[in-house]
Amino acid sequence: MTLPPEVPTAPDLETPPDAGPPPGAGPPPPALPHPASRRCPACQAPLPGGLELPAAGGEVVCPRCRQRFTITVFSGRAPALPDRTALEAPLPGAAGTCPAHPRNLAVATCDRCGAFLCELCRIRLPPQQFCSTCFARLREEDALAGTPTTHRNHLGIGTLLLLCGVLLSPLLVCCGPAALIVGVQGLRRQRRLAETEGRVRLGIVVALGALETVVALLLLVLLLLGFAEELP
Amino acid sequence: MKPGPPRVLLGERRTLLGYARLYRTADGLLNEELDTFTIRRQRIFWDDVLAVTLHRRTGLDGTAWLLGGTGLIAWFAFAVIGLTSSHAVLGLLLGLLGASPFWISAGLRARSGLAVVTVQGRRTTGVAEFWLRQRRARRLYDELTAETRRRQGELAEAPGLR
Repeated sequence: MTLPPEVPTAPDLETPPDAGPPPGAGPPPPALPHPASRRCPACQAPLPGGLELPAAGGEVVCPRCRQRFTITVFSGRAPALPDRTALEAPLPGAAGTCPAHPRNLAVATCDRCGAFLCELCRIRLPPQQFCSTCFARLREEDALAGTPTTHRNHLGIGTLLLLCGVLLSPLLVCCGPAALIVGVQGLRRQRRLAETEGRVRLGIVVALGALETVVALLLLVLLLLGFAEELP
Repeated sequence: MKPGPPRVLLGERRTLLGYARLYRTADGLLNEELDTFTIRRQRIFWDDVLAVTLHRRTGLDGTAWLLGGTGLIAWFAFAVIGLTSSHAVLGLLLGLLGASPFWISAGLRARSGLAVVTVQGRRTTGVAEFWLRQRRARRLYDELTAETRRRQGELAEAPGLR
């Protein structure tokens, strides 16, 4: 998901800090952020500011852990805003300006509410794009396939429950059905998100959970019959 | 709800309790970290990429685990055969033979190390480790740098943007 960059105050919205040189100054140089925004891949320490990082790729030695590594650095910049020249002379066919940032050209419309969006407001979720309000609402409703970042690991939990059922047999009565339920939930989620990986393993968890459930029920029945026979 | 885009596995890093996998999706990379109970997925868009690195590490943790497996199997064979008969040395040798996949793997791993490709995004870092396919690591590094350069170049040249 693409969140809008954090540039909060209204008057400065049209000129983000990394928008480049003023108009008319020619094409911007290949500006790279401060090296400290990168880390050594071995020790995870921020690389010191004086270290030269090759944009075309090259070897660097981390001054802290002495690890040698190959690195290619990138600007990693979010899309910049339309420059002021473009704002003063709107592009041919430009529909209007952004309602939140009147000095920014509208470059898109929200796929949900149709509002004009500037580059700052546009939240891209290919193939769609939303304004921040609609994005927040859809995310609250869990209606966006790409937004949740943390999921329950049904396969891991189901496997753990199956193992508990086998190793701790008194728990078979609850672990078997629980593994079955977790496995079915996992399969449902996979179908909802159109995922295919791990479907077979989840199917095995469901089958083994069902087997454990049947065995647990049989054991319960036998136990109850044994009690019944002992009754006078 | 629309189905998510297809993803291609680029590499993974395994730990004792889970793994982290790096996928390629239509609009960037997807880092998936898994432990027993949760799966955490975070995207790294092409325009978010700050650096791609490639380095080697010894992978002593994996080697230690493999050697531990060797020791466990050898000890088990030694204990079973040595305690039930007078051929304790034979048991130890049989155990070492049975554990040969472990110690051979440990030796190879200690000798060759791991090639690690790291993609540093503005919010997320994705890692893929390669042990037996180290050329693949180099290829992946080249692919990722080329693709990031191309995508960020396209973005910089988009009409109306600078």
